[in-house]
Amino acid sequence: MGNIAGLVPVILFLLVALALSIFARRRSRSGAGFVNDYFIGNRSLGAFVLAMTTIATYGSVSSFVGGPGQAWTIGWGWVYMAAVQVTALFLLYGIMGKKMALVSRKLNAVTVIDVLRARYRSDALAIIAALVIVVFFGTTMIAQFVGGAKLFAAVTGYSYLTGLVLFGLAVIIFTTIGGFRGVAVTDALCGIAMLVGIFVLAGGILHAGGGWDNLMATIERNHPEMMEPLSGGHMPYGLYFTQWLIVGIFTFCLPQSAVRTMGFKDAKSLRHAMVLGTVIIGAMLIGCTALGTMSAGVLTDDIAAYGGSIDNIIPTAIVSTLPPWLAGIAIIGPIAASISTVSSLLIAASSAIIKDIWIHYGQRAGKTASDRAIEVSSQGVTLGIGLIVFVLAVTPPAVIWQINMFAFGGLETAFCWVFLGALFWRRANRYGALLSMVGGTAAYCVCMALGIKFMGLHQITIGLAVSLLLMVVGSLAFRDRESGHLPVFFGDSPRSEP
Amino acid sequence: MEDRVTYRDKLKQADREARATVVALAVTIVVWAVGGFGLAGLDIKVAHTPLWVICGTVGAWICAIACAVYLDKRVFVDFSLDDEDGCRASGPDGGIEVSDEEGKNRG
Repeated sequence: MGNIAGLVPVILFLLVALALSIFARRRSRSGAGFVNDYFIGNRSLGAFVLAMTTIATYGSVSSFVGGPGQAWTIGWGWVYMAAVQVTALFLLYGIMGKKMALVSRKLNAVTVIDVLRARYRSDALAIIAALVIVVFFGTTMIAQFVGGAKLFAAVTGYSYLTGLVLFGLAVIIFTTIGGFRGVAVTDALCGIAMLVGIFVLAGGILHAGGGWDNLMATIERNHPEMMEPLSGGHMPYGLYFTQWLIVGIFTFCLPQSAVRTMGFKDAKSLRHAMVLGTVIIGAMLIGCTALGTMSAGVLTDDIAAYGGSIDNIIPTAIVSTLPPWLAGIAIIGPIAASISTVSSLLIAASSAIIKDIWIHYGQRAGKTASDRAIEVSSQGVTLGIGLIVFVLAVTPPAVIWQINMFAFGGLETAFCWVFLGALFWRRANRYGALLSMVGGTAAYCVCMALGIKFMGLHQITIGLAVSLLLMVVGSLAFRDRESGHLPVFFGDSPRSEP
Repeated sequence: MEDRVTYRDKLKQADREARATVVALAVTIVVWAVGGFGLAGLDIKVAHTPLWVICGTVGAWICAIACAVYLDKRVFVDFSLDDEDGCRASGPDGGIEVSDEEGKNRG
């Protein structure tokens, strides 16, 4: 039998999230049409909700479980590496924010694929992009479900399956009902829960370890290499370099983040979200990873004593440093991280199928679906994808943060140059974009599968390089006579186009 | 840049903001590298914590916040994001079509 004191706060949190999602959905019905309401929340996000939904989408359960687990092994070097993520928000809003907002309003685009389809005038690209989104989002969602359920089981004593059913079904239901606006508002709630979770656990570890100085002294005595940036050779410079690419610089082109730049209310909201978000993301991601290193001052045994997996470190730290009722509150943080990422990906994956494929091809065939049909099918697809991912998560895969990194790398490889070309390079065309997305993603996946590396660097360097090369070569080598919407993207008269 | 700004001006401003953001990224990377790797050789500790840890993590974070504040106050400009030029390109249910004005331009 599990610990009921740990279960009650989680259930209460899920109920509040569900209520908030229903409330947000009802408020968002504005007459702008179901598609606009459901998939982009009628572009109504204010600064706080915008910042929190972006952070909650970006910061996943791996930020709470896998990352800190690594920091427990590696030491301060891992926290130093996590600090590269502080640029994520200002990069997203600064590079993509204003331009995506302008272009998407002009085009009445609801998804990132709408924008790409308009810019490149390529249905093939849109379909491939939708497939890439569904596959990599699915992979990430499985990792989130697994991480959250494992944590739940470790802290409450209930089974993995109980945790999966409890919060897995909750997140599927409130995403299905709430749509984009509901997801954004519950993301804000999740963001707050994550911060609370960090502070509660930090208090527990500090108390158990006899204060900061004692914790540091213990770590230095047991593992002096954990106080070095290279961590006795465990943290090569190449790893720092590739982490800057994967979780630092190129996070701005993750489609689940980019779609948020289409949903905010006004320019002022964007500015304020940039500052607020940069403050919060640093507190959350540096703070969260530091919890792992701090845990090394309390959990001083070998990894075998903690179940042989770094994913068990944070759950063990929660259980061993906090009383049961407080552990129940601390666990809400990582569970919130898990469900906020799943909800954001779920709504984006659903929009890729409904909006970018079904509605688009229906219109091309001259069939216009009724609002009611679109509503039922959108919610049905959201529910369906959620349930498929849920079933796949019943048998948990291994190390969560590696799965997460794989999906991050795949999405960045597929979308980075295609987005940048669409928004900032007028010579970019459909041939370059297609080659870039297909060739880059294929190169990345093949290299990951076969373990092929360049100078020992992560495979994303190969994926990004191939993708960039193909974008440039394809765009310059093949002239596209049907350039798409260039005046909308660059404000020029079409006569001046190359 | 308030009223009467053209759509083209808005796009140009968005490009300026993007370029400034890339500069802000470069500044943060430099602070991160100097604060972390650069100070790692010094045997200085604050509350038992190596100085490179504080400067490389909290220092980089503070730098990122300063960059965000600078972009907010000095670079980013508020203007209406909605279409004011009357050349909206939209179709039913969010579908995308070429607007009349754009069609004329293309012709």
